[in-house]
Amino acid sequence: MLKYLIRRLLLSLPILFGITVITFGIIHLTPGGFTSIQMDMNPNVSPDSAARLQELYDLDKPLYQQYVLWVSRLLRLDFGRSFLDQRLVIAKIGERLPATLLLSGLSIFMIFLLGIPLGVYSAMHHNTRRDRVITMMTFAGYSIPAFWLALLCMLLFSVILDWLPMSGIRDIDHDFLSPLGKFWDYVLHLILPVTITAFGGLASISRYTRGNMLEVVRQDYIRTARAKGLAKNRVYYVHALKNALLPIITIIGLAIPGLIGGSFIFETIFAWPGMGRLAYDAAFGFDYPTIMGIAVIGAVLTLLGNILADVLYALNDPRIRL
Amino acid sequence: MPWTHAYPGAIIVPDSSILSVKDLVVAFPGVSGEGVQVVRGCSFSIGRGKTLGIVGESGCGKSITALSILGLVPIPGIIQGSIKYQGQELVGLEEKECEKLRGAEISIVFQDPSTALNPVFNLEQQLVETILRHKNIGSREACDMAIESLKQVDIPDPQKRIKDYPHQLSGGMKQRVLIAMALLCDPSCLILDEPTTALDVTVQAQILDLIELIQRSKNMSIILISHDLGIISEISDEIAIMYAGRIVETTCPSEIINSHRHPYTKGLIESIPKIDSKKKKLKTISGFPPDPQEMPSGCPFHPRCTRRLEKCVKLMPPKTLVNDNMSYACWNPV
Repeated sequence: MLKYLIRRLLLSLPILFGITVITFGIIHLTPGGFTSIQMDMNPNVSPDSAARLQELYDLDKPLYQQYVLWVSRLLRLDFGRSFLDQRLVIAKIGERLPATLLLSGLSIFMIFLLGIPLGVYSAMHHNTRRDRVITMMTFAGYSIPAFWLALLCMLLFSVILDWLPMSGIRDIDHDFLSPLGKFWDYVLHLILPVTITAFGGLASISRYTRGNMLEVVRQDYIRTARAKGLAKNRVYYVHALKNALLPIITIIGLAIPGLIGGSFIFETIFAWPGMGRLAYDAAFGFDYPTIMGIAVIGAVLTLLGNILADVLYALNDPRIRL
Repeated sequence: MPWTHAYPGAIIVPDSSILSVKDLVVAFPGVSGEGVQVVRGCSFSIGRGKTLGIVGESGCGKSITALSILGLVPIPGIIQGSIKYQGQELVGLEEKECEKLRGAEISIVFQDPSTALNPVFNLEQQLVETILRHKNIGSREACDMAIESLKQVDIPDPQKRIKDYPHQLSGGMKQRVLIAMALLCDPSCLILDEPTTALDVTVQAQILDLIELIQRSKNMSIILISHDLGIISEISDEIAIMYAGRIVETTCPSEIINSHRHPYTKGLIESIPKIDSKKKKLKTISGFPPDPQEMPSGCPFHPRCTRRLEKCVKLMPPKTLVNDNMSYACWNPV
């Protein structure tokens, strides 16, 4: 197991290298550039000062040299400073990451906590009215655009009923609240975004689970489990579910980068100060160091997510040995 | 005590049989129409400590009959008729009550050992949960029992093997484990549904010996389902020949070769390959078993029967008793 992990981690390094090369190439291929925002349309800028600005940000050097410079800094764990506000990239990411982790983490947790039992329940009551109701709901979950649903929910719960705050992560008077009040303030702000972001995922996870379960319950070993006199719940939630989990583990692995990347759309709708918006602002401002910083962190977590999924496979199924 | 039968509330056991099946019908409702009857009026009974062998071709309803005894007929199958276990009616019994019987009073070993064990749990987990379900004992004791049960079916080094997962065992070992699992709670009745079909001949013989040995030590009743007349006549006390969802002949091993009555039984016996036969071609019963959706009129065997009369096409032959243990359903018996 340990040997496998070390091998996988080492194998991930070339992939990570490839990801950074491609990302670096793409952002520099994009028409325009950081300095062009300030200078291209400005008749007062002399060619001389334009060259000086390019030089300041090392943008005058050939691309490969810029990349080597960036890598050499990265190896010292220096992500550089943002072009936009001269702050350390690592600090900018650091202040946005917790908000995204909180929102996506809770959302993914909800998806699996509710989606898997919902799928099992649906499979247990296959082709009955209960199953059909759940199927209908999940199809609605698939097909309703979540950003539209988000707006409707904001209208209903925040404007008409005024039960929940509309957006943001905390109230304007947050700092004056008691510790318990602060906690409650976060909870209230989380309800809508978490529910909305979990909605679509919940639908697909429960459908996946249902489909896998229906496949598994036809197997002989399920008949054996029932012939032993086990209760139906134990047969489904223990014997069948553990076999049906494998494909779901893949999805858990794939969900991890989303956990970090955040969702730009929802962070914008709910004015959530997370990674999604940071990346958006960085991309439109040609803020190369920030974009690369986010890309590296995203890539590392994606690769770790894949390794985690493989480890979970082995833990779940004894036939898989690492 | 002569007054017992008249005494209110007295339990009247009409016969000595532990399990009796009467007019069992298992139907699968189709999308349209009344659906398909897979078992069509099957009756048999089995005495305590006895072995009943049920023989028939694939698709004649053997396995469904076995599953209906345990209440495990796949949805949307419907069971009609009567299945009595020690006087208790099993048809229409609540699922919760069924669960208490399964594995504890009536156990089953299925056909294909390679797929019958759950691949993601080790033997200990799969054995212990059965014990804990039916017996009120601690998990430590249950584990000891599980090891003991593996020892009983000749699994070498059971303390170590019990931690194994199914994929680490051979086919014969898996079948031993499944037998051990079925016997954990000392059932009074064991159903073996083609227990040796998936195994090679040497292992077959070992498994059959093992079953006979355990049966004798526990005075257990066995229903052995097979398409292999050889295996059936080797260990059964009574033999039931099943065709198209019905028992067409009941007999016993000593009589089956020489005094069988039903032409189908005759066909089965003739189609056993003989080691000293000079003929090149194996004798077979021509045709196929009928599709349950298009049952022939009269006797279902008549399209394949060499002794067919005009009557056979129109009328279903009734059960004719020869003696207590032997009967047949044929208009023109051998």
